[in-house]
Amino acid sequence: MQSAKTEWIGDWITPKNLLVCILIVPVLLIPFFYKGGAALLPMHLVIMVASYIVLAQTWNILSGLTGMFSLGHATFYGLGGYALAVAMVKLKLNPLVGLAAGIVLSAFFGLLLGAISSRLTGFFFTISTIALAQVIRTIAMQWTPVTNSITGLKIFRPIVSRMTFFYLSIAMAVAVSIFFAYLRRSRTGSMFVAIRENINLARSLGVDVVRYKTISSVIAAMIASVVGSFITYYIQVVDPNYLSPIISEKIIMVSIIGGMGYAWGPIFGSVLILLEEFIRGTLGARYAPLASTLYGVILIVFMLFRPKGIVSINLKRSFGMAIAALTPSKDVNASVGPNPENLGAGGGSTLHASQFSKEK
Amino acid sequence: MAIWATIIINGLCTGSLFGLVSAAFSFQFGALRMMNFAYGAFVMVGMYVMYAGIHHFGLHAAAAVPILIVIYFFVGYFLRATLLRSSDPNVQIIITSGVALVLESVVLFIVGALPRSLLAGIPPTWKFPFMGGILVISKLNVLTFAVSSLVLIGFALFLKRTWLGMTIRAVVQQKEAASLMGVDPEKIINVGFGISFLITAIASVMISLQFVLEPTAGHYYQLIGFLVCVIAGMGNLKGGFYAGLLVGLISTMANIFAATWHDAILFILFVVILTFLPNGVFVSRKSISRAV
Repeated sequence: MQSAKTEWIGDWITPKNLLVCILIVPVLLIPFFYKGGAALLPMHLVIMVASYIVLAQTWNILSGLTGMFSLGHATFYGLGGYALAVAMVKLKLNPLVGLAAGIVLSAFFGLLLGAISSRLTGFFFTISTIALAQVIRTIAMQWTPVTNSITGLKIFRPIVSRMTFFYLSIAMAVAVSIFFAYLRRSRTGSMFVAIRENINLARSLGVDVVRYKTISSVIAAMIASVVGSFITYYIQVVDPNYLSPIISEKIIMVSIIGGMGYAWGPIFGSVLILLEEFIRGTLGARYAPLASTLYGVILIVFMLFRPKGIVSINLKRSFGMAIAALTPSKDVNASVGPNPENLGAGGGSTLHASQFSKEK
Repeated sequence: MAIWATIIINGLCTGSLFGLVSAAFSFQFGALRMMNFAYGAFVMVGMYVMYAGIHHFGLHAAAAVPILIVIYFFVGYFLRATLLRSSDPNVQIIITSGVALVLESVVLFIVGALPRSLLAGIPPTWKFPFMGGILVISKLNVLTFAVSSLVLIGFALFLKRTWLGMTIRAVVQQKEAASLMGVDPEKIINVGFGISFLITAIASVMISLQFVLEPTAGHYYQLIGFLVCVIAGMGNLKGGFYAGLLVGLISTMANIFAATWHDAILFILFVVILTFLPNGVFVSRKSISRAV
């Protein structure tokens, strides 16, 4: 832990990370594979997936690292979106002013959440996040002169190529993921993990619990708000659906199924966002609610059988066990047995978050 | 004057319904230590099952209600026995959120988002002359109040007097001691969870008689249930009924003075109470398991 700062760049250049970097290249080239308008849909999907990666990473900071289990994360996303839209449509300001306003508004809300978490923990904190999210949603629905109620606000912007949004979203996802990995290794991140693991022990060792909880929620709020502004600027409309509990549930699902508290978690889990588009595309819009059904089922199944998410699946070991089951040879069994290095969350085979953490 | 009396009486009747809705949750959380975030969704599904039983299968309401209650007991029993075996609160929250997501989206897929109502027309009322005006009391409201208070009294007696109720209390207080007395604690918690679902079923029937059916209605009743439980103190069933009455009054007043901000007022109240009076307004000095 002490030498974390000096060696972190060297730690990251591993064959596995390089492999992932190579796998990202085809995604970056998507705009050039298709001709004309055919690239628009794949690019849109990548933008959505990338924005969910960022949202899930922020939830990961708040809940995965610090243990403040929030079920109202869509609030920050919606606040960012509404701040941008209100600044552009009602006040006729530069979108960057709206972006900044959204960040400030969300940071304020994050402070509020931090203040609440100083008095409430666990389940009580969770339900108060739901209630606050509902309050913000009610305001968005009812404060008609500003938010235009259910219709929402439609913004008009100069035409920007979709490719700009595409690369911007990927850059955001990569930057926030690296930030998360860095945060997890940093001193602040260690404080977060200490609070999650045992709040009383952390307090007795001199960790300023309220301060670090507030830092965690403010960081998460500010980044999530940027995503909200970004998506609003891209889709050109914001409505109360941005604040709906379904968005929060999707964010949580992405993060939990991927692996809560790991930098790779949201990146793996975010692929599931494509499921909805896939069902809409193959079966028709009428079957779109079934995507949420599948999300629920996947969430339950993972929670029952793989509570640590996709990152905890050790490919080499599962593969080896499959081979061992298929071939009754003694040699294979000998080489496959439970290797202490591969057990648990820190298993060594592929794409593991453990590269970012020595302590787990 | 008569108008205010009407408003207060109807508010109290709605409040008794809120007390009933929250009782199941209060029992699950306060006594059984189960975080059930799917509980609003189950209220919503119960409403739709009633609707389907009456309008599509042509059942009489008196036949549909017992069927729903029996189904719900087994749903609760098997939900606890299969999915909710973990005692980690976060795992319970995530799994029940997943169940809620499944239920909501399936209902949305089957019936669509269009709101429906079980009863057509204005429900019958009694009219009394009262202090120079006319006091209007809806018969449905009186029925709601009667059913809610009877169910809650019956539930309290069940916990206090019957063998099963005493066993549940024993398991809640000391799992190991209860199992030494020859009780299977897991099985008893399953049964207790099933019984709490029985109350959910009755509450959903009473709600479906008065309010609109929507696939997202569950969120609202879930938060109302939380609010009532928080005001009463978790696990305090008797306080829950009074807190329900209070919330019903506040809700009616909010509806009159600021109908559009009704939800916001209730939920801000919720967060404020939770933050500053985390043990509830009606705190008793007894421990939570005693109060149950």
